[in-house]
Amino acid sequence: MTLDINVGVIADLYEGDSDSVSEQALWSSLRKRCHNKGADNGLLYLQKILTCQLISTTVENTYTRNKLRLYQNITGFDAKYNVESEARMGFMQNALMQSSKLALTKKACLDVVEKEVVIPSDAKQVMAEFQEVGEDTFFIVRWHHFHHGIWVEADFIQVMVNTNTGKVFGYQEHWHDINLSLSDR
Amino acid sequence: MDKIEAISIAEKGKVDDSNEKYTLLGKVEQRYIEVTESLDPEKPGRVRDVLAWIVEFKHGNMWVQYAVDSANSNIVRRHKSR
Repeated sequence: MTLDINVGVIADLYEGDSDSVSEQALWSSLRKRCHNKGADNGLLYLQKILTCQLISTTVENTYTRNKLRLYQNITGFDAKYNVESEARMGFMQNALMQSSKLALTKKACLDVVEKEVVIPSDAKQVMAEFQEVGEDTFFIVRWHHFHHGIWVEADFIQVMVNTNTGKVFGYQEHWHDINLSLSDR
Repeated sequence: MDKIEAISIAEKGKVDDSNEKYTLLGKVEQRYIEVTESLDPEKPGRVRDVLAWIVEFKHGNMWVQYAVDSANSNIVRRHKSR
């Protein structure tokens, strides 16, 4: 569905660059529309389910025309990143978790994991099993970190697989190099 | 430090903490554990890895666990079942 909303604003009335002004103006316009429909809190709901993205920018004589697109979020995707290394430490993709009805074998699930996840050489697999959660059955594999054969208590990698589609939908990682000196880790 | 020394230090810690009723020796193993600067896991601060001997004592279904630093023989962590 496409809905065209033309919003003209005097940029000086807003703070920020042209992209930010356009987005503020769009939400402002939607707020007014919600108000006119008698739903003053409607904008809060819309901001939860909609994501705004800049599509194009055209500079014309006395103004800049920004085209924005609103996307509706249909599924949750949580991800965790290391602030310093920017490495992805984990994710959970709800859409890929749906309808996980047991259809794959344990070996097939392990093959999926082997293809998609790089496991460090000092990791040892400590769990690989099907787990029932409600009406679904997930495959969960877990590794622990063993440094020269000694367990590093805090470290693990866990991968969750949809046992029907063979898609990895969950990944959690806590892994670090042993450091016997104090650090801000 | 060897396993016997670690058990001996943990035994002393048990007495200091009035945990003498935990008489049965459970698992004893080496692990790398994360320890904060203040040794209080609740307080934020810098952390380091410690190669520790984990010594567990049991009393029925309950247990206490001491982590003894292999480098300096200090007890760096105490855990207790609820």
